[in-house]
Amino acid sequence: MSLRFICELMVASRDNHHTVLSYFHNSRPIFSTYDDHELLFVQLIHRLAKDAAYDGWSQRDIDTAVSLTTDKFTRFPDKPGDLDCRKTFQAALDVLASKPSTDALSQELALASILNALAHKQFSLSLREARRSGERTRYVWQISGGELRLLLPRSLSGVQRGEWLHRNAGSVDLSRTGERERVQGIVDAAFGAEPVSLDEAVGVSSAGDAPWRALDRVGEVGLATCLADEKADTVERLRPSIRRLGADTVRALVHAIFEGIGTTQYREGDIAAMFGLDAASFSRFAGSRWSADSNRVPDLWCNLAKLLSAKPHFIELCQDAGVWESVQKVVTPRPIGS
Amino acid sequence: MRRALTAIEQVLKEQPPKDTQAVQALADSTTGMELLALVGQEAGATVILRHNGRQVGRAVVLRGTAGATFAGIIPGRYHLSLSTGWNVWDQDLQAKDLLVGLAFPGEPIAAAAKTRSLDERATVVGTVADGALGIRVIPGRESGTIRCMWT
Repeated sequence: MSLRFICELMVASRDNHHTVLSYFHNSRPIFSTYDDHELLFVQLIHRLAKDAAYDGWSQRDIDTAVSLTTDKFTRFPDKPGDLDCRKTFQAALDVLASKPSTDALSQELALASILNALAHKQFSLSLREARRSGERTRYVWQISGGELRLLLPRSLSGVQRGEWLHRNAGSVDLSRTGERERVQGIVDAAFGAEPVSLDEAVGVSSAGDAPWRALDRVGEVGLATCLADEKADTVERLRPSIRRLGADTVRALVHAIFEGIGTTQYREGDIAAMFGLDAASFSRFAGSRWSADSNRVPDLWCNLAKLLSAKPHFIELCQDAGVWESVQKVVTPRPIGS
Repeated sequence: MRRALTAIEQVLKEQPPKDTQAVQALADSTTGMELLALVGQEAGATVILRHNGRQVGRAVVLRGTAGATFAGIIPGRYHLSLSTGWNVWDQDLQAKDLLVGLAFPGEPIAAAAKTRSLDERATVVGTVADGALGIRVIPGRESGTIRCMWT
């Protein structure tokens, strides 16, 4: 059975979905990491958990992330409103449908790549969700004869919580659509939380924080354009000095850097000046004086190394070019504090 | 490092040769094969051949080339699957499928091997993976060959 057929069966199924799901998880080694390929889902999760531990995440956050990600790929709802793994497979099919129509073999490879990207992204978001949840606890606010279930910071004690909400939540109307979200929004704004919606994340339609999305287009447009687009799409997450440039200018900056580094006339200072950046900001973004052993690899080279190490084809090319060791040093996670 | 990466970038942007022979020559080297797969995004599908349950071959099939070839095929049950786990072909191959002398009785072996084109010599012809992958079994003097083509 093709992956597409399996996903369609799962999405459409009512009674036999556990059989199809088991078949998928037991016989489809479509997942990979930057140095491990043809993994089953469970092997991938095990590997991601190991990497996260090495990267300094707490065991509690990792356990939560494993559980959340596994649920997204394995859980069927017991009752309406429960988590449903069919949404994940539907999201993958939607992404596939958005690509130009191709033959069954191309679709198989594309869908494998999409599901792999989804699993990676889900795990990454789940880690953030776990950390966020760890800093907050649920609070049931009894109000206007009803209740609102909210996430509040641990720093607010039980009595303080009700008082704070009464003072800050404004007029509460439980019959109003989206009232919980409105009040939670007030809490988030006050305490600086950054909510992560795992359900929204499944769609992978928004700009990704890892180069997985960029990988889809590397063969088509080349490394420089992929990285330029990726940086432009995620400009709000860049360092303030770079973020200020705006998406289009960041895209032009990355192109200028890539065009420059192949020439003998490349001068970092010239490019920095052209884009109104000071030397320190440029150096942190794409400076040339750094060591792969250092924890301070400039952002652009770090992204490039991740991109190169994410597919076997790139790895082989890097090995042939004699740069694989350097790339590995950049992408290999180091324990925090080392 | 950056200069080397730029060199990779330039290689990646080169168009794959159009000429079939040149493509095949490139595909014969591991690096060339990977490079082709890379340049033509998702152009390479890894296929795995099993004989009586044991893996006997693994190759990358590239679209538009002569395809992957598994030689030394002896009678038995063969499974062909993609690296994604999709089992696309399951066939019991017998001596008459794999040996020229049995496939074309009465015809001199050397003549059969020389005068017939590969397509004419194929004893098993079919497409799998919803028509995307063509399969030919070609008999030889002492063993057969399985060829997979991304059509």
